[in-house]
Amino acid sequence: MTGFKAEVFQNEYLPAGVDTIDAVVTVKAEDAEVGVSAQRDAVEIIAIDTSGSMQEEGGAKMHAAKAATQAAIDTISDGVYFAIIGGNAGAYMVYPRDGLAVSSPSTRDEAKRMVSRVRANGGTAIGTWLKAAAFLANQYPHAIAHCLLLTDGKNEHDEPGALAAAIRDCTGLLQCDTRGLGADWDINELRTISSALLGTVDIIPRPEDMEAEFRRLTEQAMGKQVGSVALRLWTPKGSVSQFVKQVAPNLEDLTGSAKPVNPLTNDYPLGSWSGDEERDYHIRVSIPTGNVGDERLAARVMLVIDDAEQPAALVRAIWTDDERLSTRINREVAHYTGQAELASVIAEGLAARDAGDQATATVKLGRAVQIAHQAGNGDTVRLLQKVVDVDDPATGTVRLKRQVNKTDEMALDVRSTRTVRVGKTK
Amino acid sequence: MECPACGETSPEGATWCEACGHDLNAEPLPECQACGEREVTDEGYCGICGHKQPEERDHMEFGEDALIAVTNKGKRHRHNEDSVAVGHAFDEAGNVTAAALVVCDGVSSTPGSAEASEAATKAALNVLLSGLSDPVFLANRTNRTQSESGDGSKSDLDVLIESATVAAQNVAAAAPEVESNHPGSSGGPPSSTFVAVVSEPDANGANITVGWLGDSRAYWLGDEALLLTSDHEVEGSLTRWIGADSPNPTPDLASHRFEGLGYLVVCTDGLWRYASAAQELKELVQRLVDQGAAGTTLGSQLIDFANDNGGHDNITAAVWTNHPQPPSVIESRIDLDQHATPEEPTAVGVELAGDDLPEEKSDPE
Repeated sequence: MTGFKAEVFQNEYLPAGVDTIDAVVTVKAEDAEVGVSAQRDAVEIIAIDTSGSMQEEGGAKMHAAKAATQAAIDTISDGVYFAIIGGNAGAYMVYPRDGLAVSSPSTRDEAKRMVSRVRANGGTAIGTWLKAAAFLANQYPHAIAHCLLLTDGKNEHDEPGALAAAIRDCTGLLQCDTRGLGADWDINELRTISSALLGTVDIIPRPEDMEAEFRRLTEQAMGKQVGSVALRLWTPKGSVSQFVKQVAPNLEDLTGSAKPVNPLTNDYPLGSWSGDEERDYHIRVSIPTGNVGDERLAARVMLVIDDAEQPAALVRAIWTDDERLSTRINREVAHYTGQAELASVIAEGLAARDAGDQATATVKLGRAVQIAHQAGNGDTVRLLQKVVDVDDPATGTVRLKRQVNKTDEMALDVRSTRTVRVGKTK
Repeated sequence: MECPACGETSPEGATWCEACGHDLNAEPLPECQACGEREVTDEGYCGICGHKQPEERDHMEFGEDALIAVTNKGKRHRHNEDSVAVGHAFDEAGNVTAAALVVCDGVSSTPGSAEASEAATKAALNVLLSGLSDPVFLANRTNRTQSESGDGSKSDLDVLIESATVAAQNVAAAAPEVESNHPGSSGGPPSSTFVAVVSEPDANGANITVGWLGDSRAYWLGDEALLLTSDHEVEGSLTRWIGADSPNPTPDLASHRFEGLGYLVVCTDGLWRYASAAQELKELVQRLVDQGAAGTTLGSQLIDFANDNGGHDNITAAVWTNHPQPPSVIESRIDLDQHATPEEPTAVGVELAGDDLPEEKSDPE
């Protein structure tokens, strides 16, 4: 059984009258036992866009999507239940004919053959594709289920509300990584899906990048060993959990996903974990203030696996009139506060740029360059450099580029929530 | 019987609640000192309001009547690293011959100092009470006026206090170093101040001998008010202490003869910082006694005085007096005397064992 280790980073000292405490909780899965994934059923669903637009560029996109899907199929472990869904204005089974197949050399060959026969035409109805994935995953509701969803376009042919309903169907049932090919898809649409379904979203700028990405994502899914993990947060009577955010490897606000366990305790679903995964969480709690000298437990953070609680990490609040203590800045909290600011100034900067507000865009994207430079977000700095010319990264002095590739701008947007961990510099 | 967890009724003698599975034989959880809910967890926090429950060391009171000790966390520090131990020594007839008082102020910047200071006070008191009760030592003490005529040579009692200091230094130096990322922590091995005082009363007054390292103090508050120690401290840093990194664990020694009645106060800087001059402390004690304070009440009122002035540090005071005690208190002393035997001296906060007395001390010159 995989064990979890949680460690708290915080400044527990508060000046008199202050009621809000921040803490970063690092959670690490360890002691992964070989063979756990074999004992636990796994479901892998690949949903590929086969709309008419995939046939553009001389069929290069469809051709690459088929090759990528075939590479992903090769990566599916023996014994895993799997299916390939084709998506257009509806959803249809590419392989198997219905239900799920059990992965073996022969079923994988059969699946690859069926993939090669796919033809691109029709519209895009992502909600319908997800609904089909939920239907399939529901056949093994206790399995670790993962879906890889690819689209090159916007969700144009669903009934209103169909996508939201499909997301609800999938919640708690499967995790979904979404990928957008090219520049004609909607970042917010895919981000909504992957956020709700505890997966990632990214751009695949060129068809030739697809195969490696599909292989990587499927391998990652095969490595998941623990199915339903939740972060259990106890806070004292009279307190308010201001937010619970995943802050590494990427930003994800979990506050809204709280499921009450009892009046003082909530569970935040974290999805499945591999045996050596590490994630960081930033929590902010307001609690009734104490007198100088009082100490109070502000939060207890536990990991819950299949309803079994793992040892807790404690967030404390101690009120003091010693300013040397209360004014100390905790390095981890400051770092992730900066990472959250980085994501929001990128979003604000790009929005201002789209709206033609060059002054605001320059200030915001300049600030982004400055934070990313200081915090060691090398990848983010490189993405920013495709949108702005950097004169001085230390002060955030930048000029907006006149000509920007649409996929470069989208890559900056969609990857703005990727964070670096503390201490990882350049 | 009613389940304390869910309120359902189970048959008498049932081990588990049939409704919720609660262990009906389980000890109820302790009551929260802040909100009263019975939800205090193993970690020492209330499971409802989150309040940290006081630790035993946060406030302790020992002894009664003429010999008491109190120690308190104060208002600023997270833990109490002070320790104190007091006890009486008896002759073979069961008469009190002396009182011994040991106070240690564990250095809060070196984690693990509470353990070091507690071990040191116990070890030192053990040596003192065993030595003071030794028949050979007592026989020699009857001739003490010659040996303490001021020629600079060490008395038997000086030697005994030195060996008590050695015992304290040995256990403090053996206390394990604790890692801490606390902002107030300087790292380094546990360390502590040390002050040990022996008071030998007679019909006309008392002989008082003091040994110390660091800035914990002893005061005599009688007809005259006198500070008996001088701080080993330069610009806020200790120059002598006990602990593994002590450069010089040799105590300074002082002996005094006081006629008449008075109070012996042995304390840490958590108290004396608010009443440093002997006359000031004397007036404070006098005022509290005039208001009826005696025994541990006097001790806890000294703590209140320090906390009312800010409680910037841990606060510890051990008090011995040869003033007659108020009638209500004398009654309890009679009761105490009936139970105290020479084999079980009235030592508080220590387990007494006579067999680990250092070799050279059992046969003093």
